[in-house]
Amino acid sequence: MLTIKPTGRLEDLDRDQLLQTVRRLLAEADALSSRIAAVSEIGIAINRTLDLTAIQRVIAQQAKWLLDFDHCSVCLQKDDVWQINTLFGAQEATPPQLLETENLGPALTRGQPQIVREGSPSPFMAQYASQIILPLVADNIILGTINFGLAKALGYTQDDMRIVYMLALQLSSALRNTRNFEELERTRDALQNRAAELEARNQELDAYSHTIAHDLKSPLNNIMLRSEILASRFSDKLPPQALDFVKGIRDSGVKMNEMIDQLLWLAKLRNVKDTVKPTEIRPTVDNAVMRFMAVLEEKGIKVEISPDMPCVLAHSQWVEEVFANLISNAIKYMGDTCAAPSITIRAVAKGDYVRCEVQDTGIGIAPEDQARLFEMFTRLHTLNVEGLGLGLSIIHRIVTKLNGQVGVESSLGVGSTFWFTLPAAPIPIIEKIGQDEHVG
Amino acid sequence: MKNLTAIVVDDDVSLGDIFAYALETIGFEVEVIKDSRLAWEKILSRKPDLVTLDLEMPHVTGADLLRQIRADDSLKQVKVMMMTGNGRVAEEMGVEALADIILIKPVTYTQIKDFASRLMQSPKTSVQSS
Repeated sequence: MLTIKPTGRLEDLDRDQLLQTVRRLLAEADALSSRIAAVSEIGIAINRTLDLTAIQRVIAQQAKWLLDFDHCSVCLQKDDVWQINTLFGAQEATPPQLLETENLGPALTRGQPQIVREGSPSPFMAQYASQIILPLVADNIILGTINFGLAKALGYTQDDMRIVYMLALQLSSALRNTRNFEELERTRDALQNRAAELEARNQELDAYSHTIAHDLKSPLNNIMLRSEILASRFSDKLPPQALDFVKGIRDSGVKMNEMIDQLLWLAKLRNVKDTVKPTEIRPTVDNAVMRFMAVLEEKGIKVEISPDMPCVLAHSQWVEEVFANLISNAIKYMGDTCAAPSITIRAVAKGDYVRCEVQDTGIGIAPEDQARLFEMFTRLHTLNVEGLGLGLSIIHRIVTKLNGQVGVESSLGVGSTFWFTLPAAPIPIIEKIGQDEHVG
Repeated sequence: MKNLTAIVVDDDVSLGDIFAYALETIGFEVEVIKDSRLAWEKILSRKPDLVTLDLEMPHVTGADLLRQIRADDSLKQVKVMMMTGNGRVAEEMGVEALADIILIKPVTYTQIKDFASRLMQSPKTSVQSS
């Protein structure tokens, strides 16, 4: 604050006196401007970093441009305990019962600025007769104090208090940023740890289900092989009812094998991180249909495949598996009331995605069951819908992994249309996607 | 087929027995080995026409045995039928190119008969089943 103390009216001053007054005023203006500039620079510097140590270092180095002091310290919480960090001057110990001291206490507990003019009222900063202790407050929380001390009495002016107040504001905002950032980091770390834990647990579960599924194959193979040999080599020695039982054993084995394969697929899908590539849909549909040729013929189900199927961004084996699961479901739920049972398979480009459909003339699905269809292991809840759970879980997992969506439209007694979308491939490909050679 | 010999290596002895039975029905004389650590000596001394290996076994895997067989000149005539519960594992263990055939469990009686017969007929067969 500029203080003009003219000895009389300006008009009465002689030239020298006038010059002296102007010089003094200029010097004071210059000093104040330097101090404001210093506060602003400190503000910029401490708000640029989120490192508390760096912030304190800046204050220790720059505060000397602001005001005169023999001691500068901050009182901050570390691990829920108030601690004094001396930034300049003789090391000041953290006083016992710090909240009850007469200078620091009211600042920390009630946020009251403490200005001491003639002699310290407390063992804290006992050697400094002049003190400015200002609370650092952000979001109505007292984060600490900043403390300046001068050995001589009556050392601080109103201007000094204002400057320290400005500094306290800057420091409070920097501290708030630091706290918020630390809080964010803690939350982020906690989330990352949780995500990693969950991922690890999922992988464990998948590895576990993979092992179980895999280990089940040997005893299952034993059961199926023995029943097959019974039926083929001992058919003349077994009564018809016994042969029926043997056939039942084999049929159950086939079903169980399908489920094991589906479990293996589910376990495998989580781990695959391959990149997708342009994939022709038609060969995947043909391969999927081929898997069911015998049963389709046996049941007299006609399969219609729409021509000119577009390309998608996917893995051919995955798309084939989706179609195979949908065709398998369509066959399972065809029922026997339809005179001309049929399955229609389409794939139509719609903007930047392709919609694939498998439509059947089967028994259809009640509206209340449709919503629950794609839940993992839905079968547990709807035991009357036999065999749906795993297959649809696989479809859902594959399509979701390929950034597509899946759904069903169905009317009881009319049939169902299961659909899924996949991202369209930008450029059509000509050569056939390599398929494994299947023999046997 | 006459005087054909086979060694079945499978840690599931009951499954090994029924594989053996299936091979016996088409004329093989079969020995079943449960502990894969004992298999190599047997294969080397008996030089069978056919070896069936379970891919995943404790101690010595089917893949280990297959590599040993393929690395030994005295076993050039031995055909190897690899059995696995999971085709992907066969791929990962790098046995696809070495085995004469890979059969994915559950292996059927028909498959065993057909593929064993085909392997015995052709000097160099490369077929794969899934």
